[in-house]
Amino acid sequence: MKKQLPITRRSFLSATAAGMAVTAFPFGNLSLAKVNRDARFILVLARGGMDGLALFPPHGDPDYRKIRGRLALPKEEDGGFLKLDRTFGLHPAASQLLPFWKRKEMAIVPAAANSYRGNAHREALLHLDSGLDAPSNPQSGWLNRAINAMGGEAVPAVSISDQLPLVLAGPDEKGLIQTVPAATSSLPGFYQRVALLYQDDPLLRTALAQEMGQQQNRQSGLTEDDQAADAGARPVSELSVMVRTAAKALRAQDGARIAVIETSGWDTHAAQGSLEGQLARRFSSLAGGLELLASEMRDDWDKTVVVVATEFGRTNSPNKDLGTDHGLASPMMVLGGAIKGGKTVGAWPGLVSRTSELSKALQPSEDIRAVFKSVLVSHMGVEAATVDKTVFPNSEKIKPLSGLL
Amino acid sequence: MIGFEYPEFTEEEIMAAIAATRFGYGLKPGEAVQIVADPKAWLTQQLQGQDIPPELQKLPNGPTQQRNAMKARAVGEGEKWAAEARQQALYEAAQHCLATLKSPRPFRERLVRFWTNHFTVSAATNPELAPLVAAFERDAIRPYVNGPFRLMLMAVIQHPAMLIFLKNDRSVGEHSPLGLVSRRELDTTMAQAILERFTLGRPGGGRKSDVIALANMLSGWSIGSLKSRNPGGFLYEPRYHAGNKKRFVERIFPEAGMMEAEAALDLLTHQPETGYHLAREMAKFFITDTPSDALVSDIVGGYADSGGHLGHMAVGMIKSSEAWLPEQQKIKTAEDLVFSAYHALDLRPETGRPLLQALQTLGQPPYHAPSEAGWPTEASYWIGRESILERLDWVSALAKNVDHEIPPLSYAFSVMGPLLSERTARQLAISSGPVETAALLLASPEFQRR
Repeated sequence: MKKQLPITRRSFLSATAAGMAVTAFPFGNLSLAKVNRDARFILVLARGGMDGLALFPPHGDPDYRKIRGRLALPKEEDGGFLKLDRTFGLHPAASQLLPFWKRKEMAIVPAAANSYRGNAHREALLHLDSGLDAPSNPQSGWLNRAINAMGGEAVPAVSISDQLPLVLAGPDEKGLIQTVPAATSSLPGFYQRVALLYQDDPLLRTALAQEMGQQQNRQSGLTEDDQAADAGARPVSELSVMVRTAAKALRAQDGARIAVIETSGWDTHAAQGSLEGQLARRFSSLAGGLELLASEMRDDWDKTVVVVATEFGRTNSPNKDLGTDHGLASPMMVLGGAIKGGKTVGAWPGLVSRTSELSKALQPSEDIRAVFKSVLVSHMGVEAATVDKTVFPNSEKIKPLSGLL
Repeated sequence: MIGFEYPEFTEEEIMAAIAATRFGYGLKPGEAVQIVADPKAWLTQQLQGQDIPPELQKLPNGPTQQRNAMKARAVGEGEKWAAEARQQALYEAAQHCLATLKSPRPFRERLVRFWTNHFTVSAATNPELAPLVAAFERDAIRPYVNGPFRLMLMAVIQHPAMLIFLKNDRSVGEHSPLGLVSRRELDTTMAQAILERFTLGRPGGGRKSDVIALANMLSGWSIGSLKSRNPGGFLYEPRYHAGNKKRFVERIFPEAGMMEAEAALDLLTHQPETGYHLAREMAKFFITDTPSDALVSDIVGGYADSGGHLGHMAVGMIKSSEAWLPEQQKIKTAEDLVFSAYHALDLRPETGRPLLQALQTLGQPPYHAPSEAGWPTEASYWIGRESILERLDWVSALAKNVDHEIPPLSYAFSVMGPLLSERTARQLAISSGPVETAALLLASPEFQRR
């Protein structure tokens, strides 16, 4: 009998119903011959549901301005989005990504989603990380299974987060995966201690008190589910530190081949801003971090693929607080010297669908696993059959996304 | 804490800390020793010399950039060029950050920054302008910060970045040879900017007739085409120039082609209003959001007594007793904060990238000032736009770079000296380790101000 290893990821796992049937995965049918040991894969997780329509505004969609409303960006000539192609633009705060597009090292999958159709972070994350259609109590993540399929310890991986993410968790996780806490975990009670320092400075004292209050309001406005989404991940403003930690591990002799970096700060229910604002600042951090990653990985960049994935997109239109709520599909970014970029891969479904109910959120044209499959098969050299059966069990119908690699 | 006694500091030690913080980018540990002998001389000595920092050498100047852009557009490769240009600008921005951090003359660097901001050109509304904006500071500001205002003004107005940014390259004078036969019109954007922001400081540029007269005198100040004798650089184009005499600031300017605007700019540099406007701006940049009359008139004195010399003007500020008040009245901009934090922790990045990244995170991306008025330096802009928590998150992330034990109090005093408050000192004394010590130090009010 297989021993069930404990999952160290996130407290929410312990809350799932005990005694549910456990999916068992066959680990016997491995084919290691073709595995590409030089290839590097970096998965950047944007926890909380990133508004991909803000990062890649679909300016060519006839309903863009009408549907995005006050979140729509001005035209390029007015200092707004940077044009990528006839359909998509790039948020100017992320202008550091533009050279990737021009060098054909960035591709956009216009509307990708996992198989989850609800609006709870917890469930969406379980789908994204486990790679399963109905993950009730998953014992492993898809990337862990992929690593095992590639030969386990021969393909070391690092996780840049406070806890091991589910996507990497599973059998033999300890041997395979090295958890590197990014040198960024927050200092406990730091704001409160700073508030003591600001007592004699009315300007700073008032501003800090106000912002702490706002943050608290935002957090109390968040459901328990919203808060769980961010657990373990670090704010994207710290991405550059995490990237450097990851790159160090990836560059080392016999170092890691796979890295997972978790970022938070994407659950923008209120005042997300458009041209400027909190989300724009985060895009700037994201783009800067990815650019730094490419620069740190320059010697191996042509063997590197980076996927930025989020558990779901957000609603197409702003809510009453000028934020966006949990949606469905989202434009998804793939970067790297190894990809065929400078283009979109997959169909653009359009912002408006036939029924008004559906038009609230972007409808998916691709399963997010098609992207991962493409990376695993064409880049990492995992056998297609193994990917269909073991990494993403019972997923033969989802073909690797073609044209990406 | 038991037994903590706040040390006593000498007058010179207090001035050394103020000199480095208010006029430079803060102290590195142990650096105060070099300043304490004569803080004012430490500052004035930095004005000397004209060198371009090593990190910024061998970069293309504005006319070269513009010429390359025009060449690329001429053969239909404008878009490709634009993409390369943006990348070039990012590289230059990172180099610029590194140059600032490593500069042995931080006061001069901040003067460069002040004048660059006074004469803002921004790529915020036109990303393709970024490399020209980068070149602008090297070409038109750096060589002139210790010289007559007239020369800087002339270099600024004739720089391709400024001619494009304020649309003077397209301006066609009333009754000019070209104006009579085409539909192109006079553009008053640059004239208004000169009168409102660059010289007199008159709201809206003052009288409309003055704005139009100056715009007409400036008509023809343009950029050479590829076929011209100065492709990409400044070129006076007589066909765009408005004929007739002009009445400007209560004087009559006879028709004199390009020399009209030269004379007008020269006249403006000698107006008392200009001296006061520049002095007030300088005081607001370095010392306080609300400068006193005494401070402004000390700075004006340096300007007026030297016939408009910017180095003397800076010395006028340094000599003013109002510049050395112990109260730290200015909140650091993102730029001030980033460079001074790297200094305080004595971090030495190999490239400028992490610095550039920090400026982007904290809301001050180089070459992208939010408006024609440049980066605001007022406290209200930097505090209270959801920015404090971002600052605190950033300093605590940066503090993680401290990987060795530091004795909290002696370290803090070595980079803050007498600026360290007793309240902060007591908090530092009970910090849990080097990271928290560094984070609290950088978060403290005395570090967020200067």
